[in-house]
Amino acid sequence: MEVLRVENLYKFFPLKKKGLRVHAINNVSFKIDSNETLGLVGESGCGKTTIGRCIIRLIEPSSGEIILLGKNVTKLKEKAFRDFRPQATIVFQEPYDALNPRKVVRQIIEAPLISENRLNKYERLERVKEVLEMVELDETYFDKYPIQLTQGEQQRIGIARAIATKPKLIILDEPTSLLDIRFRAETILLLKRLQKETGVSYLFISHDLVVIAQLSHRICVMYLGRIVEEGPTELVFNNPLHPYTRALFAATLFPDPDQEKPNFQLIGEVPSPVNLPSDRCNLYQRCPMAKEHCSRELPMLKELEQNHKVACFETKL
Amino acid sequence: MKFLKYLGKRIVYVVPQFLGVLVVIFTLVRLVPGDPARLMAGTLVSPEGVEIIRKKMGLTGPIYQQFWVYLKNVFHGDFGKSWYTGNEVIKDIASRLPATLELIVISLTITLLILLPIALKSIAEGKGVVKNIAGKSLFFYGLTAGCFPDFWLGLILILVFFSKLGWLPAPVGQLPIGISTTKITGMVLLDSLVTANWPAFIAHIKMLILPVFVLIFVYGSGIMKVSLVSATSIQKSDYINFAKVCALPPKQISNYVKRGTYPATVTMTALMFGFLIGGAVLVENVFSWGGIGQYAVQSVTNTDYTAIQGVVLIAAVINIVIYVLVDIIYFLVDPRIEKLG
Repeated sequence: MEVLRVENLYKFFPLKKKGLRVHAINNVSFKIDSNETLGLVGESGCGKTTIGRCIIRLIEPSSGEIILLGKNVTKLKEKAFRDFRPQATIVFQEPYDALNPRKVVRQIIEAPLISENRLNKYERLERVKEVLEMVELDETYFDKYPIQLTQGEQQRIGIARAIATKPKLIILDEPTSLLDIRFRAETILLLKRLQKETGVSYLFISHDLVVIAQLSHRICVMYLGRIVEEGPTELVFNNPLHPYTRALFAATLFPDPDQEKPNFQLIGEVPSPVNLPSDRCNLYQRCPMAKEHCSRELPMLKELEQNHKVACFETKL
Repeated sequence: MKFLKYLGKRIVYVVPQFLGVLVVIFTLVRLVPGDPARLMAGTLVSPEGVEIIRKKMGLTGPIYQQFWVYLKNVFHGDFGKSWYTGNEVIKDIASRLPATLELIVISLTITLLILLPIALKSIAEGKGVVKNIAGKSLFFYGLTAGCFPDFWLGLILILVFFSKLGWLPAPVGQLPIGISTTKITGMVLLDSLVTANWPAFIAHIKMLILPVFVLIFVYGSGIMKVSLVSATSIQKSDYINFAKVCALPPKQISNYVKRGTYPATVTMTALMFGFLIGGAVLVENVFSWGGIGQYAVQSVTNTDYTAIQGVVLIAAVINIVIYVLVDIIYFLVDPRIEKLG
């Protein structure tokens, strides 16, 4: 069953100077099935976090459609959207910043339940206990303040809070990137187990290919607000097709001593996302494979093998 | 119970703080060049007479003995005599301090109760006419607040509202000439209110308008800016984002933000309070307020040692008291302290 479908999503941020705008998301479409994890990978500033925030309405998209649980929620008024709030939650990057420092764990996890207003006081307390156990904590944490917890525990509280309302979709916005390596592994394993137990879908946003590989069923690679490659994790990892993906892989150190020396590099820096042209490939100036027509036309996602789509004219299987 | 334990622990610290202050005041005054006994005696008294005065002032004998005398005197409430006013220093201070405290308390209260809510409104979520006006006027205020010296602003306001327009009374102190109140607390506002002396009450409020406005305008901006910075950083934090994601009522979210700014606001207000006890002196002078700041400056220009010692000591004590109060307020506004101490 399809949990989330995003179609032709755009987000522009206008700048102070008239006529200039940052193209944060450019025509992005993807879908997530139930019990599935979609990894969204790309450099900082490529728009992956903005996509996550558009879905849960922390940011209003400029145009495009968001279909949540089969219902088009793009045009819904906030009041009507409230019913969908418990269905799609988020885990943030900074574990401490995400928890109200003046509330205890019980209050923090209870907040979304109170807002959902489906359970009574006793049921809520039961549910808080239950989700704490699901993240391998217990009742003794009820009255602790976030500052008393380790980083890993803080992030688990963040996760417990996200699953409290039994959502169908959780947006994981780089939940591991600021954690110590020990907590990172712990958190990934926890997320995997939770998915198995509850059947929740994840939109996993990260810049870390190693972490993405461990959790995602499919991945989308983003560059300057566009998806440039999309496919099942194994296919993309074994055979990255887009030049940007290949450069990303070449720049990543995998925990593998036999990893081949990277030899695929892009030229220069990521260009500014202000008033991005849409009549040519945005990688054109940096791409070692670029041909003349890459500067005249924007490549669209094309299926090169089963479920494996790439937005490039030049790449071949 | 927890509160009492916390308070007890906090008050234990006051003792060394207070002794430290005494040591500093005692030594500093002795490091100042010149002979206080000679100054006090004047030029006509013989050296023997100066010696007697010196003994009376506790300036003879080894330094530790002198300190012991000083300590004993202070704890008996004897701060010595001011040679300039001829009064006991403690009495001089007692008659001037309430006027200054009144000025500061009123200014800071208005800052906290009016300026701050407007400031927080200006950065609130969403749109609205109120927010717009608040934002625009605060922008203008922020630009000007830092660049007007308090005494200059005071003089200009006197020129406009007293000399030119005649809307407000002459800056001759706390009450216009010819009106008086019974002294109870020394704060005219309270005294006239308690004794139901309405003419004095209204006259005093008219006298208060300008100095209070100057203090708020010049010194309130610091408090406002600190709490605004703290509020905007909280607004951006992810726990506020999560509160929005799970659709908590906007009222509750703005309460989260407001509560988060309390520690910064309390700290800055306390700092301002301590600073203004001595720092409001120029405003006091311009408006002939007759407060402790004016007394301090007068003592310094007259090398009135005992008076300087007394003023510094009282200012230090008030600061110590304020910081104890701040810690109590922290305890009340931040639930974490109760738990973690």
